[in-house]
Amino acid sequence: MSKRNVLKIIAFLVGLYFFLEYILPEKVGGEFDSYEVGSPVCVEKDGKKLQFYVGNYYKGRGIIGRMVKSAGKWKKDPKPCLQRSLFLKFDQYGLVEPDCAITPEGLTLLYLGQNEKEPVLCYAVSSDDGQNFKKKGPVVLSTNDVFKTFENAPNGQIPDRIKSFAADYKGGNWDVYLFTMTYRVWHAAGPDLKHLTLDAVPLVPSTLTEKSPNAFDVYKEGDAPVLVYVMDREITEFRKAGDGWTPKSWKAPAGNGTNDTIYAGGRMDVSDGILYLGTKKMQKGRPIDSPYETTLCAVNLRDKGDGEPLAPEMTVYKKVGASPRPTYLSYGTEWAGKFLTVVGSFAIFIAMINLMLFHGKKIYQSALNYNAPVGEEKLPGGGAPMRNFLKNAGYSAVFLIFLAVMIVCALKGQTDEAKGTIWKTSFDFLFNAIQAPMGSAVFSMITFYMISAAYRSFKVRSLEAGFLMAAAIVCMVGQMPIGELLASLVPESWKLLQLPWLSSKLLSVLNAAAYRAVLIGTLIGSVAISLRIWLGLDNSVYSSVD
Amino acid sequence: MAPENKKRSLWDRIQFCDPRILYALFAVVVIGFEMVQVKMPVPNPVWVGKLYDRIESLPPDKAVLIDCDYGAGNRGECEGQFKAVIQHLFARNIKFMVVTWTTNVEGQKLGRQVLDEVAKKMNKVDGEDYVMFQAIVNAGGVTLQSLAKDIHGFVVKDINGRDLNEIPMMKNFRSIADVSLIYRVAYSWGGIPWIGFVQSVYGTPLAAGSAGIESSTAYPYLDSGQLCGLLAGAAGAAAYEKRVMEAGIVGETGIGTKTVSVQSFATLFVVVSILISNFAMFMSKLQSRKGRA
Repeated sequence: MSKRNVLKIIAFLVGLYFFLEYILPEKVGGEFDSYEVGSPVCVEKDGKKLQFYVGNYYKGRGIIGRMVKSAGKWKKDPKPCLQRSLFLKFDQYGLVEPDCAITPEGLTLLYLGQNEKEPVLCYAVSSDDGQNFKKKGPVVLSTNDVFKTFENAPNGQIPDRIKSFAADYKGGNWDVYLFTMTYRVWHAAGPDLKHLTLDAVPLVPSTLTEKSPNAFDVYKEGDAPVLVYVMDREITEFRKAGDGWTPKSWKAPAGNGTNDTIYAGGRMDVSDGILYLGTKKMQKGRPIDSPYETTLCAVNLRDKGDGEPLAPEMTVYKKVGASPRPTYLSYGTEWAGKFLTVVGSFAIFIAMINLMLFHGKKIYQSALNYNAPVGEEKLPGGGAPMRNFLKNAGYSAVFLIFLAVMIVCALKGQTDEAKGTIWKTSFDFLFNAIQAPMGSAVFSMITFYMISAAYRSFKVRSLEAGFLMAAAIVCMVGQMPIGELLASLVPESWKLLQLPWLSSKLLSVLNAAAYRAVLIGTLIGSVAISLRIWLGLDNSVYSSVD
Repeated sequence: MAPENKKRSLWDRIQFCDPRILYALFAVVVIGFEMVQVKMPVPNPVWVGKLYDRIESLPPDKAVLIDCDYGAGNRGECEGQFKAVIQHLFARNIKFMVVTWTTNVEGQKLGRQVLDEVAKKMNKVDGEDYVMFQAIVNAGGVTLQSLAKDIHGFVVKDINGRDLNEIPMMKNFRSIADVSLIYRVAYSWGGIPWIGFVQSVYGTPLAAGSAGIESSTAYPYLDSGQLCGLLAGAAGAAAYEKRVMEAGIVGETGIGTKTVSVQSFATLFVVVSILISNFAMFMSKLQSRKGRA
């Protein structure tokens, strides 16, 4: 195989790697719950107690993990039991707030899927063994028995944006409670999650609490629903009484035995009188952001009167885990990024070395000639040796001196620690008194040339040139305060004569359309060239090989 | 070619006047209006308002990533854009990270001067409320992709040589998922790599501030929603400064408002000189036609 073909294959494979890395959605690696844990939900299946929770491998991007109770202790599975979708969009940004129930099919778990765009989607999955889940589909709600999903309402006819939810399955019937962004609670019921009939009026028509609860759940006492809200360290149950709701509150104990915890957001679950919820550390009255130790805890509410002290039943601590790898192939991208950084740094060094060699050589040659005997003058122009030296190598010497000074001052005077030292003062002086004013001066000089060029060359010699000039004047003046001033003289209804309006339309309609056409054309060309190089159809890039 | 001097009419002399006269007049206009500040109405472009509203609605637990790539040459237009936005972020207690590039050392130095000045005035602490990274070698899209995936893995240190893991605020910001807005301020908004490798991949909103002359290329991206805001030139900076001042964040407007007033008269000078030159050309042609007749 020729060298050229080998290079083509390597280029193709590298291109394929980065192409796949680019198009593949993010995938969990490392410890899936390294960042924090929360939103636990407990269920008993085949005599075994299972707890599902949301693990985050960094902020957001939650996936579901599982714990099993054996010999009185909760043991976490090392791997998640339910991951985000790879190719479906509905939960690519994470799974949050799970709830589950035992159904004739096995275990059904519901969760809210977060995606690139609102709204979140309430989705259901099922499992025979409580470990391997099959995706079923979205929960579909309706008020008029037309159970349809829409692009902007994937759960059918939902009354408001869903913030949280709770689900319960009893006697072949599902009861789903939606806690919405307006703090209302809606109830939907039905035998199938794809055919849930929403009540005509909300179960809770207005907010029951002043603040938004950190966590929410509903359980049933007989046929009556009991709403459970957790706000910071206060747990409140609301029971229906006439037209209103009667609260019953407890001050919850600290999650990990200290007073610096707060009950984390997300879901919680009340199962057999035990409340399962996640806790976080608190600082200045607010939960601090992970990664810190977070806790899953259970609090016994059974037979507790109003205000009675509560006792934690179990606490599972989760320390910060191993860092995640966001994508399958991200090692490659990171490596390539670092490699290119190193290559780029070398390029700067090479440029510097090249410049130093070039100017050093010039100085060296001039220095040799400096000592040449009078009468054997080799330099053009003649004159005194010093003058000749400066004429030929003066700028090179200045360049090398400033290069050296700037490098030393920048290295030693860049950081805050160097404040007050000669290096910092010199660096600031060189930058503020020389580099920045010179940069501004060079740029400003362009303006003078532009004026001269516009004055001499911008002539209306054709209709097109006339249009061009009119557009230029409208855009220039329309974007300036002077345009606003002129516009204030024109009545509001005469928009066409207002330069700012006209200028914005020219830029955002005509200019945008024309520029977009140019861009699309250019980019299609770039794609074609890239594809030709990638697939080895373009030999020009390999012309120096073989 | 300009006609010989002795054959030139008045209109020809105006048309082909010595450029030094133009330079001198322009200098007088700029210096004059720099010294005598004339209060002008500040324009209110819709995209400035959109960026302001976007920052108003940013969640406090996420950071803003600022790409500071302006230089001394375009400081007059871009510094105001940078300063007004960071004042707004500081006022809202939104933390931000500033990224600069080795290809433009001025971006880092000038950006830092503004940061230090504003932070001092607003009692903000380096490392707790904001951080400026060590300049990064810009190798195109791959650099941005690596930065987006793992900030700690790619940047490593801040401008003071501190490890990113030691900086308190950086504990919470590890990748682009922790960033709620990217704001690039540079002479040329040139955010196509940001759009291609970050905005379109992760959906992180992108806004830009650029010199007025370069802003026209950003409009297709505003229209498509890939850019969520634009501060175009000194006018954009002035409009943002006005909003920040009206919100009570600062007591007075800044460099953008000062610049835009002078720029306004400079623009007017350019427009008037082009019109004079064209009028002279027209009159000269008319004169020569009459002469032939």
